Amino acid sequence: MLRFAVRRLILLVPILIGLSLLVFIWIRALPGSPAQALLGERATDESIAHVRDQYGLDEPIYDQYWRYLQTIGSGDLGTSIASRRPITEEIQERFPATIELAISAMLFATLIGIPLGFVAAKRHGGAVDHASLFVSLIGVSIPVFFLALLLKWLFAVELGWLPSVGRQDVLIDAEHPTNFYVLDGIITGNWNAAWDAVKHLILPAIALGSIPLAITARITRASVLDVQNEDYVRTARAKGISPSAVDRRHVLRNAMLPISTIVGLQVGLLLSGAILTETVFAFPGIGTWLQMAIVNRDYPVIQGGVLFVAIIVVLVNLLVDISYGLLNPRIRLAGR
Amino acid sequence: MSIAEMEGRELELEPTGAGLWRDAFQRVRRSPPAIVGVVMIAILVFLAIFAPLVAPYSPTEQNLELVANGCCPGPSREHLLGVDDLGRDELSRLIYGARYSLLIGVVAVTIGLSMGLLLGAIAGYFRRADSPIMRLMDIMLAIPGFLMAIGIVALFGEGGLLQVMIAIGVVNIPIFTRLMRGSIIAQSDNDYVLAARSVGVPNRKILGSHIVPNAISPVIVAATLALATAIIDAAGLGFLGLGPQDPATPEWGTMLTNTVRYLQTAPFLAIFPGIAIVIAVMGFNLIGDALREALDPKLRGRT
Amino acid sequence: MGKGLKVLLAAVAVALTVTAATLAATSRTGATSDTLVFGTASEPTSLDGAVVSDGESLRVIDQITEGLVGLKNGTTVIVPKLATSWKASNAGKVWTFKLRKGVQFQDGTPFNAKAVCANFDRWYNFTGAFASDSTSYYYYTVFGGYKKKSAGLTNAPLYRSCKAVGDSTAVITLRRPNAAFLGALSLTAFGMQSPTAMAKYGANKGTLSKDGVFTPGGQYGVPGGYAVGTGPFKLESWKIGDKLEIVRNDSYWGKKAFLRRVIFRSIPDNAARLQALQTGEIQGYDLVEPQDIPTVQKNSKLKVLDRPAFNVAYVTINQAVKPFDNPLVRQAVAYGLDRAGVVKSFYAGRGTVANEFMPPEVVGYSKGVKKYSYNPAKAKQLLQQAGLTLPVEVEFWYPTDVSRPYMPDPARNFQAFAASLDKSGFKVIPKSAPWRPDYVSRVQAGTAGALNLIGWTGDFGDPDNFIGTFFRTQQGQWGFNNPKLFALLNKALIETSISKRAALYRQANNMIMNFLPGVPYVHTKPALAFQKNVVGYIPSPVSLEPFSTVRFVG
Repeated sequence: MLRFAVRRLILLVPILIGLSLLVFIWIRALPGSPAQALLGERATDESIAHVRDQYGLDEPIYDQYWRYLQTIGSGDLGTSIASRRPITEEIQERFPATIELAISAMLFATLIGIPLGFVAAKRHGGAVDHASLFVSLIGVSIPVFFLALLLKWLFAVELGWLPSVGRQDVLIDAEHPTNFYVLDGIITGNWNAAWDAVKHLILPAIALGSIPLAITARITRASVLDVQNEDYVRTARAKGISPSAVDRRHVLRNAMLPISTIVGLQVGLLLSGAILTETVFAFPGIGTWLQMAIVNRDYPVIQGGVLFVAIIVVLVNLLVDISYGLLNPRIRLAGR
Repeated sequence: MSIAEMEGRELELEPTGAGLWRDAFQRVRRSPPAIVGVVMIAILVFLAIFAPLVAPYSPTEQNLELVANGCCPGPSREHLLGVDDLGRDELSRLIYGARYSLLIGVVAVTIGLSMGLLLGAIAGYFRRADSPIMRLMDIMLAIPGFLMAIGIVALFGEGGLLQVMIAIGVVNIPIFTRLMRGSIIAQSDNDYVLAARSVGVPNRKILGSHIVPNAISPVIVAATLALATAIIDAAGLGFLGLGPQDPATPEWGTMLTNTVRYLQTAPFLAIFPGIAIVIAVMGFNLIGDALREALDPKLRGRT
Repeated sequence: MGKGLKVLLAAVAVALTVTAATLAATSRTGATSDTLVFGTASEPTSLDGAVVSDGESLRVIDQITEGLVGLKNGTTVIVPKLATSWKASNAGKVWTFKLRKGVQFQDGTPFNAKAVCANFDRWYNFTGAFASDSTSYYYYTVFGGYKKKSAGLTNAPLYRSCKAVGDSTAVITLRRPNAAFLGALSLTAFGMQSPTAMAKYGANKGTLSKDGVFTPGGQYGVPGGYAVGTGPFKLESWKIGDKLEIVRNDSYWGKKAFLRRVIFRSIPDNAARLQALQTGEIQGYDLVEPQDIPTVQKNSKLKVLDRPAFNVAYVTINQAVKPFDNPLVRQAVAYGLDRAGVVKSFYAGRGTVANEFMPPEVVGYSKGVKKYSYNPAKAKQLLQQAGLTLPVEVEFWYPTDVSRPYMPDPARNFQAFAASLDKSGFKVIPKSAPWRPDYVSRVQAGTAGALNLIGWTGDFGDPDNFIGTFFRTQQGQWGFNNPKLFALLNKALIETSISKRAALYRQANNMIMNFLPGVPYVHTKPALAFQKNVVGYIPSPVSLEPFSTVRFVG
């Protein structure tokens, strides 16, 4: 098993190098010179020359790439042009926000999606089944931003039940040691702040969780249907084991394998959706940050942030692969 | 389903390409969701083609007088779905909008499909090209798709319909590359191919009647579903203001984002294009799902 | 499926009905009566007034620092602030300011003539990253340059020296007379800051960072740092992405603030700011969009405040692009823009059609300028007269990702103008770019097509701040060289007699509207929205609005 993990880690190296190369080339290919973007509206020929020199923009391209790798390796990602703050600092604040949002969305998706899919499969062809199919159809067919807008309009604006923007009410004095606001509230014993953070998460999480919910419900339904007809399940039933025990011991456990994979693979999807969800709810996460950086040509943020996000996606996929290996004896054996 | 039936199904021989499709068509025709999907898309295609005949007004004809007392008057006898912030007929714009959504979807998927199939076929046939191509796909998949689409539009320096189509097309490449490569590798040493080969069926015929139909069916399913995603992504890019340069273009995503500011006074302006997007996406999803079930031998025989 | 949709629609309909009943009941009252939460469009960039030019930074700094002179609340009338009186001598080159006695900075440093000179000398001695028109924008604009010439800038410093005569008299000597000088001192950028605090927290540190961006090097004016003035509020804390908090300065020399604290919360999205106001998360915000005004007015718990019109939105005509160097073609543009229609339909009754490049409140506004009303037939005829074949193709630019008080929805204005130009013998090619970083720099460099949408909000009540800024020198944006106009505006700038000055500016306005470097189309009254129980907020034409007069009632 260890060897399997190590081998996967080694395979990661070319991907990471390729990623850094891709991001590097992409930034150089963006229209408008970096020097122009760095200096902003009032750039003069003189100051552009100065920045080109400072940045080594006149050096050979491979030297620039090598310098770029060194910068990333040193952990200092530079300073954002828009906010004038170190990028690592911004990531420390914004990344937990997006993680918190993504986890909430996945919680929403799995807590509703798995039972829905399971019941749908058990009552195959019944009302619940049709309802689950309809819900997952809507889930995959409604654009995230449209759902987010509808939710915000209805529950925040018209009904006023939930807050419409941000992560925390400004009037709440809260400490943020980890920048995971719900966790922060719990750690510092500030239940009011924790509950407030949860309220701020509900609508964005539902919007972001809609597609994962649909997919989870679908996959659960399909894999439960699959497993139900497997020999060992039929054997177990034939042996007279109670239906609920069969469901628990055989059906659900075996169905969990594809489900967990799918859940893991949705991380890229979640980050894509986070860009739009965060925009609608003015949620200060990493999605809007990157999108604005691209629009505003905030080069330091683009080159640090996009790479950071991509590495996270790669690592999560690796973890999913490894845990899949742990769960699935066939792959585990092959890895030996 | 009885055990006998199940065993009978497993014993069933793989049909040839033509049979597979005839069979699939039969299944799709009997599936109510598929019919609903086909009807939805057929209506949209009809509206897109005959927009000038169907739409009551020009989609770009303004009437500033209509919005002089605030934006925007709701549905009325003259304007069944009301008018937008420049006094243009919302219904007409929605009808013309079908053109853009369908066009963006089809072109984007065609770009992704053709590039993906080409790369996938190369990777599948030439073992030496396999690893570099697939690593490139891994790298592309590591960047969240929508972020990559934004990045590609940024490369052009300005938003626009063509830019959006190319961006979404490129994001779709890895899906089709992986699919094509997988199919080709799986098909080429499949039992029935080997069997056909051993009884002396010519290679050309094996390719034509076994490998291609079986490799292409998952591609068609994926393409249909990719159409749905492409329409959503295009709307999303439009929502972020990366859509057409001419804001008068009745593209649904752009229409939605341009009227979000009136969500309080005229929510219908954002809701109608939103619903239009949902209908188009749902139509393709329904067809895609039905095709998948019909074409997937493993799923066949199940509702 | 059809059934599903019906259910969905029914659910929405039910929700709508429920809404009406619950709306009033559910909105929260929010703050305690001594704390006001104000929604801002963005975070400040810095709290050091000398290095900022954006409205959200200035809004906060206004509460913390004060200048030698101020403006009477709600007007552009100059009144004493930290200086109690002043006198100009030696043909307007020597200014003697008598200072208010017994004033202290919030850190306990006494405010005196030395402190005044320390501030003026600091600006004048800016070097490196500070001595740039993008960092110390207002200083460079008003004072024309620094002690040491800065790379890439023309340097014609107005300031010569500052001398402290005793504790309470400061004498400022200029190199030449300038009629706009005193008014300019009311700008937030020239607020007095504690020399002790600036030294202690390294206000003059700050370099071009390795990214080539001006980054403050010290602790002054930055998030988590310090900013010290003499104003009615002092900085309590500032954390990016969270909030900026100022609290009452209990040892303020004048009338003390009612509120104990004011929190500024950044909500970039316009609709989100409105929603935050409706839900009670904030108690006020600036720049309410015209289409949201009825929503605010209909809400019994909210109200709208008007800020006097002190801006102008216009269409640039770039004469460097052919055939727009031809006056007939420029006139055709002016006749081809449906300005009245746009102003009537898009500005919710808060806009008036602009006929020149400055609002009527400013000295030198001319009643006799040539006026152009929408007339497609005349536009076509002018184009033909210019010997062109119709339609004439024209690249027309508009900004995205921005909302300005004079241009709440640029795409909407653009679409209406594009349609009216299309009817007037032109064929518009639409082009757009995000406001930052592309659009503004393109407009300034003259690379944003032949026509583009832009505008201006006055900083202080001087005509030079409008037409002087636009047309006193040759600029890429307009692409013309008109020595007669430049000379007239330069003459007006140094004229010290108010009546003669007004006559010169009237003459300039007449000349400009004949020459038609662009087409002004609207002056608007920007709107602010507040909870109804917030009183005492006095909107100012130049957005110098103290929170010290604000309080809650009921």
